[in-house]
Amino acid sequence: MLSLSSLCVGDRDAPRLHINNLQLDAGQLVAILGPNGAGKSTLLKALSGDVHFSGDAHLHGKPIQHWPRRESARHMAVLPQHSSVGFALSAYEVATLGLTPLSVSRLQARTLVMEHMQAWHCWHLAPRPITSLSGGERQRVHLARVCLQLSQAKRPPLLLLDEPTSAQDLHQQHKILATMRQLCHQQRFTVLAVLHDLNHALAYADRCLVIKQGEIVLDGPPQQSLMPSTVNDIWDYLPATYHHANSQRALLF
Amino acid sequence: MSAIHRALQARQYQSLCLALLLLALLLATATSSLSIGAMPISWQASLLGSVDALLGTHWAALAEHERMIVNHVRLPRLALALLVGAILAQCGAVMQGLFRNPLADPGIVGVSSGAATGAVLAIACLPAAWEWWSLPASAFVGGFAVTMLVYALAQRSEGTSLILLLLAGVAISAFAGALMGFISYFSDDQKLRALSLWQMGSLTLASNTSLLLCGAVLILITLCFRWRAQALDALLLGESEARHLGLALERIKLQLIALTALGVGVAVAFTGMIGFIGLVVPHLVRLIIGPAHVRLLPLSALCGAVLLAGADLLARTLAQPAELPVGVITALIGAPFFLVLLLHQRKRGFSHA
Repeated sequence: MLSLSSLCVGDRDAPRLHINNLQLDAGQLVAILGPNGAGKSTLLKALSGDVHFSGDAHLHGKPIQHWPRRESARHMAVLPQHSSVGFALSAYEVATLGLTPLSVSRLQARTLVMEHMQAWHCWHLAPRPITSLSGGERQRVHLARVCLQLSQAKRPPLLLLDEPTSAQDLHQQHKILATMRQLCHQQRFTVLAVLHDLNHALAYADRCLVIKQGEIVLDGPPQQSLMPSTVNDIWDYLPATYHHANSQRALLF
Repeated sequence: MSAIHRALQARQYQSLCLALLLLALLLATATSSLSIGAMPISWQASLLGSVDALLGTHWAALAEHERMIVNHVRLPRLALALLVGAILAQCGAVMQGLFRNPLADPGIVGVSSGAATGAVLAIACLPAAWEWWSLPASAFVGGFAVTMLVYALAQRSEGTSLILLLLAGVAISAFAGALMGFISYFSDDQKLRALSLWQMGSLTLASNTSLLLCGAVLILITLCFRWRAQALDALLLGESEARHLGLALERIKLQLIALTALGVGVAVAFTGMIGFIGLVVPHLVRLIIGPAHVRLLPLSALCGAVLLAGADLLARTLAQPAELPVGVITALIGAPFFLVLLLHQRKRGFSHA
């Protein structure tokens, strides 16, 4: 559904990001991993149109830049790393903004907003001003907003998430990752999420892309690709490995 | 119905209550403005008299000179105050949304100064017979140019910089003041008279043209702002977020800037510099019903109309028989208010502002 070829951000000689070829399938949760400043956010920004790039990026066979504005918004949504609202809109109003590119009746709108806020565990916050919420709560409201935005997609949509779990507590981190996985597997979303915790990628992602110094250095299913030695090569840190007794899953610390 | 639904609906009730309260205040202010003055007229008679003036009926038991005062002095002046108040308050609210900064106000940012410079140029350089259109048109051009300039200066990825916004306002106001002084210095006696009359800025210049033009502009901006209310909400999230929501951001911003400049331009052209309405009113309304523009804009219009009509009433009556310029009254209320807001923002830190 998403295919990139010779995508390049920044100078041709010293690019901030360079991707020769990348194909993403619908219905997969793809984790983007990598050291700080490697170009993870840059990839998301290039796809969402916030930074210019050269090369080709096709969404469902059509160059991303050529999608009509509204159609593009219905098929691609972005959760930014930091989102601060200076005015005290209520959480409900913020989530409702996800309806902007859609055409729905008023009644439909109400149920849609409620369903999405419930799915991201923030319906109980609906009447509160967004400025009074904690970072994690705010993030969940924005997650509800961006998923709402994709609720009328005609083809499998693309969801770009920049560190969606960074401000969440342990319980919410796993709930959110599970919800993301569900979206991918049941509703054929493609989620491209920047994650920092390798264990999150190991436990939830279908595929992981490791970016270092602007290039993809590792690409594959996390359980097979994130070996302690490769992790050491990339992050310069040798993790200890534990094997979960029941599930055969490896954990890295 | 769940508690959440009830809590969500509370804001709607609050808006409704505020609207009713403001309508009551509007009626009270309007009636007082019509009946209080150098020649007191009973409030029933003055209300009926203005209804007569609007509908062409003859219900009021008014003497001919009283009818003259109501129809040709107090009513036009009241109408201009209501229209300009509604225009300025909405323009203030939209600028604050556009700049994502609760302290953006046409007066503080320098848009009014730009519009005033345009107006002064028109008075000094164009024939007086063209004034009915050249004055608002050049005020619009001046205001538009300044808004674009300030926007370009203060724009940053995470919002607008408060410091740049205020400094740009200071610089532009100073420049506009100098330019106006320069033009006044080289004007002949007749032009100078027209200039100083206009610069004193008050609501006494209400004429059929100014009322019609202000009315048309008010309707235009109210409709357009209403149409863009959701986009304005989305803008509060940030520029790239709004773009990701599928909005044609550049076009919308240009439209909003042009409409604000039009509103401020027309207001400045006919009433001179009346400051702080655009700052105080949206802030008060936001405190009560929140920042969502669908409700904020119409209620700000109503509140602005009440506030400016009230201020004008004070200006006419405080120092009777003398009359203060209404801009003095709004500044007396608005400037301390602005300082309190600044203090409040300082507590939260300027970084985000």
